[in-house]
Amino acid sequence: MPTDRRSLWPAPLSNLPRLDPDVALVRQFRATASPAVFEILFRKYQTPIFNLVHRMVNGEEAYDLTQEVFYRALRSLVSFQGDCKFRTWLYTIARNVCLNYLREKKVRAGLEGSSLDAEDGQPGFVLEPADPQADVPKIVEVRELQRVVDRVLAAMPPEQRLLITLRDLDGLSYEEIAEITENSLVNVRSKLHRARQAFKNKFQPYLDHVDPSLDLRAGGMGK
Amino acid sequence: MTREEAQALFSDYLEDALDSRQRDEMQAFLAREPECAAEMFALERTLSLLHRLPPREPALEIWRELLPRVEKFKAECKLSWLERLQIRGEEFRAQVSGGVILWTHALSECAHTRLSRYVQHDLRLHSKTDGGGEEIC
Repeated sequence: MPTDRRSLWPAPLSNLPRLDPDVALVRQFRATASPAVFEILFRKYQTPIFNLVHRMVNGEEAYDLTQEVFYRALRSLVSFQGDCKFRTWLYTIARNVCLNYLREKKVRAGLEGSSLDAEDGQPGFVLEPADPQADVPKIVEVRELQRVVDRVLAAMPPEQRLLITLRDLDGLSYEEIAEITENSLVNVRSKLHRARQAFKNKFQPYLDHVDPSLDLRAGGMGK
Repeated sequence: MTREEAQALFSDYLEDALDSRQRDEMQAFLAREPECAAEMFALERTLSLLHRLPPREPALEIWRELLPRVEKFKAECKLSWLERLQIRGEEFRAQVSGGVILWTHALSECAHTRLSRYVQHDLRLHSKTDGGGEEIC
């Protein structure tokens, strides 16, 4: 009597629910508490998290805050249930760390009596507009463009800065952004659109100065 | 389609998130409104630059700074739950103290500002009632 051999074989790998490799690392870390395992996660997400933090705070503090994000993640790994992506969870921590830092900075700036030049942007920050008529040198290096983008972002409210960084610089999906910012998809879309318009208006004077032959694949820039 | 309606759809148009009817309407609108088309082109160029911008990478080694804290956390994990609770409690107390210090600082600054405003106001009143002739020390 012929037997159905297919039932004896395990299901093909493609049919099995795929385990997020990050979740596997989290489990391994929970079991062993090995710094080497955590280092793998750190190395994987170091650049995107630093990128987000740097765009949000725009300064040397980005190093300390990135370290703080990973330390908080380390301490909260026990409570990570795996019901969302590890990446989204980590970005949520980064968002909270950055917004708390900016809030504290604003309070401190208020106490020290510094003027709040930008209504909602970073205290004391004034964006010098580029004069399209003036003989402004062309932006021929990625480093210069990075600096201009950072300055424009710094003149924007933190929430808009966060949305632009997550979507247009880090390339996250709308679903991920909605989860990180605790907003509905519709809200994220409309807020991001407003943020883009605001960014474009502030960036417009610089746009014509960007050298069309600028090679943007020339690698990331440190400080 | 009005200009405002078109502007509200720029992002969706650039991300190809409009249905075919809206897309056709937008294209027709842009064809007859060159100013609006230029605005959308500027947004497209700006976003294209942002999308291609390489990420900021840390120039300093963050892991070296973080490692001692990871090691400390590992050592903490080996402690009993009571000892860990004590550590957490102390950390919490330290955070609350920090917050209280900041709050007290803020309150004293506010009080100082109000007081100096009040004193200035009072001085001005005195100088008016005295006809401005007397010098106030």
